[in-house]
Amino acid sequence: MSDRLSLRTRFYQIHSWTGFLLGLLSLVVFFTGAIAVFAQELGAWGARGKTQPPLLDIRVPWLSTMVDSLGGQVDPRFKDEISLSQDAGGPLTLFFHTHETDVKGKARERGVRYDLDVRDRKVLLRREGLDEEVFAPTSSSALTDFFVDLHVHLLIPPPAGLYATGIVGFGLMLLLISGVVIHRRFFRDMFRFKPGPALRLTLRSLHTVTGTWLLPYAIVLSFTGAFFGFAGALLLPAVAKVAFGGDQQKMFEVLVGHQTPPGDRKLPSTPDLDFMLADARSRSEGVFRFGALHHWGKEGARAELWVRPTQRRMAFAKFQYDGMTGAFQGEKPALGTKPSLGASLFSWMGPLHFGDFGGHLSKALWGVLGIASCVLTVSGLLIWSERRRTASMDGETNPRVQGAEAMRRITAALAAALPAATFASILAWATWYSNGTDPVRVMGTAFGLCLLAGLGATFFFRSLRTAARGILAGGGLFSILVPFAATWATGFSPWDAFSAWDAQILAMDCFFFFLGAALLFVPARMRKGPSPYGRETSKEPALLDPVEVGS
Amino acid sequence: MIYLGFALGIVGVWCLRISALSGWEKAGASTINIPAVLSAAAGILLCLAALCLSARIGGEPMAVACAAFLFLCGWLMAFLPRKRESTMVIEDFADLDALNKP
Repeated sequence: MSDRLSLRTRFYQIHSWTGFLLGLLSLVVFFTGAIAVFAQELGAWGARGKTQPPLLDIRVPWLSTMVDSLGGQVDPRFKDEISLSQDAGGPLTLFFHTHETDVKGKARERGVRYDLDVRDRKVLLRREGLDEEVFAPTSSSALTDFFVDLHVHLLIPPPAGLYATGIVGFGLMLLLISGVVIHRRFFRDMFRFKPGPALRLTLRSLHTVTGTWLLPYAIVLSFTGAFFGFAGALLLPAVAKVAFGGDQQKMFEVLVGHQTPPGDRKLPSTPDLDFMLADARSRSEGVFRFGALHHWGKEGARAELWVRPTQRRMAFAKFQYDGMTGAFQGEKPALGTKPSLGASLFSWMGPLHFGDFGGHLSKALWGVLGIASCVLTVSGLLIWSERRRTASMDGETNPRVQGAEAMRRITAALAAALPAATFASILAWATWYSNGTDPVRVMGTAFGLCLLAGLGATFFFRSLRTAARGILAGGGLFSILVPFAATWATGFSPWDAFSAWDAQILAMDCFFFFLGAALLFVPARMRKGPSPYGRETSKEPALLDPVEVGS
Repeated sequence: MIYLGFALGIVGVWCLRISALSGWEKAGASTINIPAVLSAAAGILLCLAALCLSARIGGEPMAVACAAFLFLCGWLMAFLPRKRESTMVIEDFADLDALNKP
């Protein structure tokens, strides 16, 4: 019995210290993840009036001619591979490129990018250079790029940013395992949120209830997050080094399947791409996301189209076509050459992490569960600090109490300032929309400054309640300003959206406005409303009450 | 029709809630609380039926979305007011507090 207790105690300490070390980082990752789920919608909202229809929704009989025509304008070596992609509401992007390696042996791509208006075949953008240069954010893609990059890299230069989010994934798995060991009465407590006579008990009840219900979601998200964090930066290079002598190109050939080497003979004509897209749609009823044309216009050419099935299937469907005749060659697994359990699991990882498998319904669920994960993190961090703070309520001042108080303030600052920082970054995007400056850098600066201001406010004001009230009200004000700023920047007002019956833009404008109003209303409730902890809270300092350290 | 599974799942989670709040043992006695056990069984069956129905109608995406929806519903239901208050949570945390002591 004592051994079991000892094991539980150890797990309790692991849980406590892992949560302390990774909690703040996890909070940022969860919150930005909940926003990144809607990155495509934010991008489409930012396009305001220039939204492009999905490629599979319209016929583009000029696509093959356009590819041939643009292909004639680029360096012939860039025709090794042509990738086609379209984000929600965005233009069709063609990237003519070739594969090369840098001095360190790392694979990279070099070529020319064209953005096309799919309705009137106008070239909207042309960029030439390395993949990281040609895919640097533009004003129209900045919103999507910023929030995805914030979640994936936390604005830390790669690969350190990827490692940081990967470590959060591993840390979360450790927290889940230790949490399961120390709290074993799942069924009995899963419906019992009980505000206790002390704040610490209320927080613990909230933490337990939330943790119990989020367990499957958190397991999936932490595992897939850790995989995505380390797969590209560590796992695949390690596999390449161990199994393929460091030859990443050879590894990809094995993972993706060995392809017939292309001949040099040029074909008299290329197959109809529009026909292939229509065929892919008829097979999946899905949304086109990505295509790759290998050695287009030459002997041995092939085309691969990735389509997100809208019905019945989680993973992308990858269809392969003969690039010489246009004939359908079959559906290929995401990994390897034959269907396998590993390929199926691999193909499920992306949809399960991004929550985009079931349209807006699954995205909304993933967004709410992401916010619930923030509740879990904040409650855990506050438990950690409250336990140390209240353990020394006899008036003794020591570094333990001061550290706990600092942690409490930082947690509250981050929790209250993250929404404000998000809206501030969108306002920064709107301000710099037509400026020509790198919008992502400006957005990142606004985001960081807002977090710092929140942190400063929580330490400047003696009362944490006053500071949190101010930060939330600021976030509310920013949120209300967002639709007006977007209208000013793009010239497309909510009324224009109503006239054009663009439901998505209208809904998001309303969302920002009413969320802002709600955030302004919450601080008022905090001042006027009754304490959520009832009469008994008078015995304990309330969460956002001022604390006199060492008094 | 596609949300029928979701509706069925809400009923299932509600049954699980009734069972969890009642306790599987009768208060003050060591006899099993039959209605609570039956309610738990009904809840599990209804949740499984909800998942199967969602999978049947909407395939894999709807089944996964339904599962996520049920977990979200369960979490939200934990905050609903209850008729009887229990001291169990405090007792459990007293247990956890003991773990924290050296």
